[in-house]
Amino acid sequence: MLPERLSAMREQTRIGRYRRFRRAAAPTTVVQRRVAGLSPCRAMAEAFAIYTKLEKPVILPGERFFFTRTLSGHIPAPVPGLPIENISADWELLLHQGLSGRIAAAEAVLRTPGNTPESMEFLQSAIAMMQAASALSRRYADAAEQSGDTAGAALLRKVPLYPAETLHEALQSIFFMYSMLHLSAVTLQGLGRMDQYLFDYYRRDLAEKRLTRQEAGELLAEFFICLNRENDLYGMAQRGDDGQSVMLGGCRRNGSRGDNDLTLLLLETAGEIAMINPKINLRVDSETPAEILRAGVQLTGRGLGFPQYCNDEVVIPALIRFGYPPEDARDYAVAACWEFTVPDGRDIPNSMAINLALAADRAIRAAMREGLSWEELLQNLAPEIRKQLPPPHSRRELVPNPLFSALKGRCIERGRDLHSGGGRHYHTGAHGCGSSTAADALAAVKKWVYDEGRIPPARLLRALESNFADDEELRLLLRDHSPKTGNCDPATNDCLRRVFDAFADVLEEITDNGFGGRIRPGTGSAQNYALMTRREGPLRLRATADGRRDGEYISSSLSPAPGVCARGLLSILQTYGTLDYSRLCNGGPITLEVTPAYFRSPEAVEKTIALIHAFIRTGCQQLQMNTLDPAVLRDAQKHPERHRDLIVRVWGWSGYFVELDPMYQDQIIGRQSYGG
Amino acid sequence: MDGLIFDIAEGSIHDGPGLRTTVFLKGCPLRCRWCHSPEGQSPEPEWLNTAAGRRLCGVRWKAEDLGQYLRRLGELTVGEGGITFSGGEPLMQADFLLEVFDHLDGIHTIVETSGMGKRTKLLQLAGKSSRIHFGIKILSPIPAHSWTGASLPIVLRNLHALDESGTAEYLFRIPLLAGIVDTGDNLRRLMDLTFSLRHLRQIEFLPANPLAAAKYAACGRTFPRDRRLTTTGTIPAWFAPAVPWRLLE
Repeated sequence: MLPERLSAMREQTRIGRYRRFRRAAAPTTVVQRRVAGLSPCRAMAEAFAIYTKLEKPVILPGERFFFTRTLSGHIPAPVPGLPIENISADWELLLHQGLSGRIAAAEAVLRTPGNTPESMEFLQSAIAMMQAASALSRRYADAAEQSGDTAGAALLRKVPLYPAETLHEALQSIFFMYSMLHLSAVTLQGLGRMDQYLFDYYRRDLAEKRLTRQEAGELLAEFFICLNRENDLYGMAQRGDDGQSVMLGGCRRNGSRGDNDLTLLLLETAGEIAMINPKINLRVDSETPAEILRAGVQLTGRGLGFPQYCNDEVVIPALIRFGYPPEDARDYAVAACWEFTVPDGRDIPNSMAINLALAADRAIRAAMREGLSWEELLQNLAPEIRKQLPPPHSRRELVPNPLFSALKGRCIERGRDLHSGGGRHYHTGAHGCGSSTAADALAAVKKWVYDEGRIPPARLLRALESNFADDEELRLLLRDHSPKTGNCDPATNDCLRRVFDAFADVLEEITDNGFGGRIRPGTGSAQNYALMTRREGPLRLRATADGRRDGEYISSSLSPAPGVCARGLLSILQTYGTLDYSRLCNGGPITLEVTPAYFRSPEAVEKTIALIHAFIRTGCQQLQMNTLDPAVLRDAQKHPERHRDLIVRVWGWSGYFVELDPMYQDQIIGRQSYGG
Repeated sequence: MDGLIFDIAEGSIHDGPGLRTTVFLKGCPLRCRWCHSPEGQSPEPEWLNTAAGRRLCGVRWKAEDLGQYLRRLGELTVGEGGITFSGGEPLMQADFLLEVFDHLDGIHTIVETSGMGKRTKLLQLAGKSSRIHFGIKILSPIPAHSWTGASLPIVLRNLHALDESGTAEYLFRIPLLAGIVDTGDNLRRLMDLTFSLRHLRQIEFLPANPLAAAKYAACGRTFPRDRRLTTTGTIPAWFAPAVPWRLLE
């Protein structure tokens, strides 16, 4: 149970009370004019200096974490291009060295001979930005002093400038710099492996009796609640898509077990506050201790749509096979949704999305038109996927961020911004969208046209071209009497596998993605299950041979196509367990919906633990579970005021149902639930 | 050999330990008035008119196909999970089920039966399965017949035969319906019965299903208007059978 003070804070956060401190709009156009003509690094530093100076300290009695935004609105980068996003800083760097340590490191590099003008500019900008951040922390300290909070003032004078020594200091240091990075135009910013970099602080506080376990839990709860205060400023169009992900569990860099008592405490805390942030991810393998799995599953049972489970036994080998060093691969976390992030680099994991349903549909139509054989049809998948790739060298400019770079890897030591070569790897990721729809269309064509010969190619082609206008009989045959992905039958499994093989083959051909890296194929779809059905022009998706009408949604990440009722939870896991994830290392979860009755049963926790073990055994990669009651969701559409706290998993993140665009609400209501 | 299945629930919660899949065999000799699966009673495929449209209920499976599918699911279970065969009444398709068992390679299996069927088939199934859930309900002959359509002498004869064979672990699973099953007379008879059995492990009482009426309209039938059929009864303090008991949630 949350103490009363934290419950009140949670409530105030939910109703947006903290937004009342936002007095002035961030003067983004003025800033853009002010920095015109400066180099991108200097422009970033200058803009950040202006914003931090405009921020006014807010001291709230009784609260233990300091920083409240007073500038309203999203802060854009002052120069065009892609800012830092979908990545988390190396928080342990900040905790161990403090900004002072990072400033000293930058000064040391500046003193070495042979710096290029660019690296001097980068290092000076980094120092300026860190100084601006600590100046704001000092102003907060003065304000705390004035309001009589001497402990708060001492805390703010110590961190983030100096290394943290207690859990409270560590969390304040992160919270403050996290907010500063958002003020420097970082979006979709993650928190990384909290149970790893905070564990020593937690253990020391307990050993030296500064905190009890319960007090530590309350501190973490307050920290978590604070992450929900400004999230309307941090994310994308849909509220909740704000990238505040945390990775828990899994192994250490050397391969030994990393899960610990703090892993448990963080899982418990996330369940207690029951808010959409931070979004919890849990790394599991067949040796994961039972109590960790139990805590994870209990959190699943809260119906928040997280934790998202990641199977280390599949993920780590795939990352190593792709070319990451084993130690870094073992240290992976996730970006905003599910895309794996690996230390010491800047991968852009959702830089493109390929419509696999469209590729399959085009190959099918061509085969029907030209009388191709089944094998010829399959061979056309790769060329159709290739056609959807963005033209080479169409890469976006990357906006540097010296402040973020100072807290990431060895950018300072290398004298280069993360966005100009300060990292080791610059891979991009491609979402493979609509895969089950693609496999269903192929399997239906194989069965009716090729194997049984009952549908002449011309009839299928006519029906597809006319959106089944005159052939409802054929549409029902394709929709209701054809093999469907999710039932683990060999026909659809084979098609699904062929689709992803073609996808991976095409991406493996590309040796330079424009950033000096390669392209990671993934199985997630993000919002494309809806958006890709709304496109015009050459990428327009029309009716498909699985009986799907033009305009209907395609499958989301890894899940049976909309309207398909698969045999059940286990067959779905077995279906997606047949994929070769060693070639699909960008991530993308199986999305399972379970009935609310499922988790009402007292035996559900043990059953779900067994289900997670089955997930690991089948060799699946990622899993997110949602509990859904369509009747409640429909009521929430009619009476949003009664369901303000109703949380659902959307694509790779959890959000408040009533705050979603109706397009996404409808897709969620239409999902098929299993179990019970 | 073919069998008729009306539903398969992967990851079922209520039908035994661990990660389970429950197979519902269509066809039942009983007509329990509280039955919440009326579509499982007829041994023929039938059309259901649901809110989502007309749907054929009852799929024919070859024993070998079902066995292979279930064996593959069985590979996922760690520990005590497995397959539960429920219904309907599995004894009505005992030969089919025996053939399915031949494909299961030692997966943990539970058969849920009312005991209403051929004794030899029950014993054969017991010999091949890991556990029997014996769904005994009412222990005086006339009420048993009027509430469920069962012949109590047959059920009891089969029960004693199962007990004497000692081949499979078995337990009672009893729907605890208020005023029907939880009467003092019935519970006393149940207590007495447990003392005459040697191999009974425990008694599990199931709560009444408040949504039992939900599927009747789809089958073109009406659920009787009787509150007792959807109300969970209580177990009095004096109830002390020879084996442990519990009320499932």
